Amino acid sequence: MSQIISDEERIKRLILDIDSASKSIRIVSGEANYEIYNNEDVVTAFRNAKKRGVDIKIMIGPIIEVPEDGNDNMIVKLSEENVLEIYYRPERRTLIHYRIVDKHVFYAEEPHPPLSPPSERRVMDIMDINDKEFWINKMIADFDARISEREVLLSKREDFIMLKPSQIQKLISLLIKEGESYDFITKDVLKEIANRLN
Amino acid sequence: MDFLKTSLINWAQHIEEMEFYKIGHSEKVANLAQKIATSRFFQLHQEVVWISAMLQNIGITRNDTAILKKHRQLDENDWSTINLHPERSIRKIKKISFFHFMPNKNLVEQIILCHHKWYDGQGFPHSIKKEDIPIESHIINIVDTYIAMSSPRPHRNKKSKKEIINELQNGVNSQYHPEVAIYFIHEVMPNLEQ
Repeated sequence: MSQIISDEERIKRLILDIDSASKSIRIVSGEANYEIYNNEDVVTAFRNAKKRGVDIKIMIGPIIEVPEDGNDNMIVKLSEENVLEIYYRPERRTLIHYRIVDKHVFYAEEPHPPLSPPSERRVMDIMDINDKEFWINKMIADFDARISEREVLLSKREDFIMLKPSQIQKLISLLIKEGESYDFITKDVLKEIANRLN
Repeated sequence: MDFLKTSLINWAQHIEEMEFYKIGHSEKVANLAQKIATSRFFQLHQEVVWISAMLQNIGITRNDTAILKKHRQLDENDWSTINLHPERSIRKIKKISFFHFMPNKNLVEQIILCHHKWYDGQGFPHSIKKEDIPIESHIINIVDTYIAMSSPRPHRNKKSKKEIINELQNGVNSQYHPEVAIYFIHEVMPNLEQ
C-alpha cells in the first residue's frame, strides 16, 4: 500500500538510488520540482553517476518549475552539461511518476494533481519481488518505446514552459476558468495561455 | 446532476436488459472509474469520466446483442457490425439536448469513441492513433474488464483476485496502459471487496 514520506526521506532515497546505478536511470516526473532536483547532493549524485558511465534519461514537462528567486532548475542545467537527457512529454499523459535504476530499483508515486507539494505525494510500495521484476521490465519497455516512437522528444530548454510556483498556480486557475484541462492541453495552447501571465 | 445521473442510470439499464446479467454493469464501471479519476484529475473530470462510462455502450443494438449470443465463432461481418457501436454511441448522445451544453463534451466523445482501443493502438475504430486515446478511456477499459471478470456470467463463475491480476498483467503494454494497470492492481484492487 502507498505511504507518505518526508521531503528529506524523498531526497535521501533519490540520492541512494542514483548512487546505486551502474548502467541506467530512467525517470518520469512532472514539473521537476526544484526543491528536490536543485538539492546540491542530488546534483552531485547525478554528476558522479555520469562519470561512472550511467545513461540518465528523464521525461518531464510540459511545465518546468523554477525557483521564485530567479535561479535555474538544475535538471535543465544538467542536460546542458550533457550529464543527462531530458525528454519533453507533448501532453501530460502519465498517471504516475516513477524511476527505474538499472533493473533493481523501482520507485513509483501514486497519481497526484500537478504541483502537489512533495509532502502530499504517496509512494507506492511494490513489495513482492516477482511482481517488482515484472513491473520493472514492463515499465522499461514502455519508457524505451515512447522514446523510440518519438512520442516524447529529446529536448532543450526552449521546448519547455519555465514557470515559478506562483505563476503555475495562476496558470492552473486560468485553465480551470477557461474550461481547459492541464492534462490534455496541447503545447501551443498551453504556451499561449502561459504568455498571458506576463 | 442528480436528475441527469438517474436518467443515465435508467438509460444504461434499459440497454443492459438485453443481457440480463449485465444490469448495473455500467453504473459499477462508472462509479469505480470516477473514484480512480479523482486521484489525479480536476473536479470537472470526475463527471466526465462518470458520464463517459455510463454512455459508452449506449450504441449497442439488439442486433449486436443477438450476434454476441450466437453459439459459433463470429465472422468478419459480425465484427464489422459490432465494431461500429462506439460510433453509434456518439451519434445517439449527440441527439440528447443536455449533451450540447456539457463542458468537455469533445473529451466525452473521444473517451467513448476510444473505449475499445488498446494501449498499443489495436482495436476499433481503426482510424484513431494510440496517442489520441484519452487516459480516461484507459481507466474505463481496465475497470470494465475488472468488473466483468469479478462478476459471474451464465457460462462461468466470477474469477478470483489472483486470476484477475494474472489476466490484467498479461495485457500490460498491449491492451492496458502500464501506469494505469500498476496503479489499479497495487492501489485500487486491494481496497475492493470481491
